[in-house]
Amino acid sequence: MMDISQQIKDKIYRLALSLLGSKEDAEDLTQEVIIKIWAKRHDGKNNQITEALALKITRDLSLNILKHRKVKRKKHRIMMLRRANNGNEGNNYENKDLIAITKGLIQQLPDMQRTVIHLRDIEGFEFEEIQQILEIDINAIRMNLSRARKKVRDELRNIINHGL
Amino acid sequence: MNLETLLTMDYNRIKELLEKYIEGSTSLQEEKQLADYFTSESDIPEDLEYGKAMFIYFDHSARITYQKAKQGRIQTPFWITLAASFIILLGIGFLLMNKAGVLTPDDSMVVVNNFENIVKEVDVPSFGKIWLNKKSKISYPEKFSKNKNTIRITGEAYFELEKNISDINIIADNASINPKAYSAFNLRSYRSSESIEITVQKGIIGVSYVNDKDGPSILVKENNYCSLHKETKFIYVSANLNENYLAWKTGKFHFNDLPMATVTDILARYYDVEVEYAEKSLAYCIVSGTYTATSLENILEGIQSATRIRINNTGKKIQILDGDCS
Repeated sequence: MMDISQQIKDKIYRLALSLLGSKEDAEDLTQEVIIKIWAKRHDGKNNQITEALALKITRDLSLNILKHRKVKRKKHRIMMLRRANNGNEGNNYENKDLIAITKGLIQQLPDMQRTVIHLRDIEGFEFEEIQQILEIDINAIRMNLSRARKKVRDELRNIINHGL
Repeated sequence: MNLETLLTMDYNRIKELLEKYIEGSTSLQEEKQLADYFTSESDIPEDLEYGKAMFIYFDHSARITYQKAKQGRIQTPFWITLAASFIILLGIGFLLMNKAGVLTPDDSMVVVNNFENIVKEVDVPSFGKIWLNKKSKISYPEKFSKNKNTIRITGEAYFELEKNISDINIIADNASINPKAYSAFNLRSYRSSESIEITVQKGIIGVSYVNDKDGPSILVKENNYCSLHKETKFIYVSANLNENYLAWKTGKFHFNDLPMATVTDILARYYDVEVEYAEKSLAYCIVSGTYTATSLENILEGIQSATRIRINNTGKKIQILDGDCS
């Protein structure tokens, strides 16, 4: 009897959330993926449904939804932060704010970059594992990853530093 | 080796690792080290703060779990329906009694409505002072508690917090403002305007939108200006460039080499008049001058004598007629 572990469900949900941006959509999609995996359980030679396959299905279905969405993603809010000119106490911004800003920046990345940064930095996958999910070669993964990280870094620096 | 060199080594190593990370050439193990550093270290050097933002976001996101939320409709037992209707009836009864003044809640509010043509100064015990501009209304709790204290405002007011009250929440339209202790700031939120505007004079305040957990939430520091668009929820923050934001309270106007268009904008706003340029090019003339506790008539007179611009004031409208900049 095959069962899909909670861990895999969490991973499916997080990827869907990251790609679709809305909790409701991600919940619906997770259920859909679980059903799809369940239906596929006899397809393979063994009854093992790999994480890679689950995430591949998640990604394909998410991108399909994004493609058909009339209104693409939520309107992005651009936030600018500037420290006061005399703020030399060096106090950091609150974690809550930093998280919200980074989240917003990652949501603005192109789909492939967003997927790669999610799989690597949030799920902690090796490049070989990401390769299995996305079916693109490792160099392309690296390139997308470093572009995504650079973009997020540059924007964060802009926001965090004094001068914009 | 003393602690300082240890810390510098740490800094150099993290900095190097972070750069390698951005290039996409760190191993998972090295990325784990970065994550550990940024999620546990409280004092991050400013040039590495972007790394902190990224890694605490990753950490936060990795903790999200899938909860099977949707379940089929369950038939509600009859006794629950009965109990629910009883509770609703009780609630209605309570509300009616409350309206009739039978019950006096502890959290009664003080409402100040300023219809007069002057600025109203309100002393709020255990909070500080609030100056209320004309056509403005404010409500605040009669007694401030240790928990949530909500202040509501429409119009414009200047707040000066004296005491360190932990939980103050100022609601202006759909914006929610959380001032930190001892801060002073100007808040402008008239119904007719598209944005809520805040200028922080002292201290620090947090701004966000009401009932929007996923929405933007930021801190605005001393000498900064912030506007929150009501519709699009677009927050704009910059250094405060408007020297005259408190003119309504102080009666002081200071025009320091400002274009005529900006000057007339400021006057239109504070004296509630319209502006009309018969000669458009005059909008670019540079105007200087300081006016204290004076009338619109006097300010226009001053501008006319300092430049060669001719201005007519109908009382409802300022007409910029002709002349030149010199």
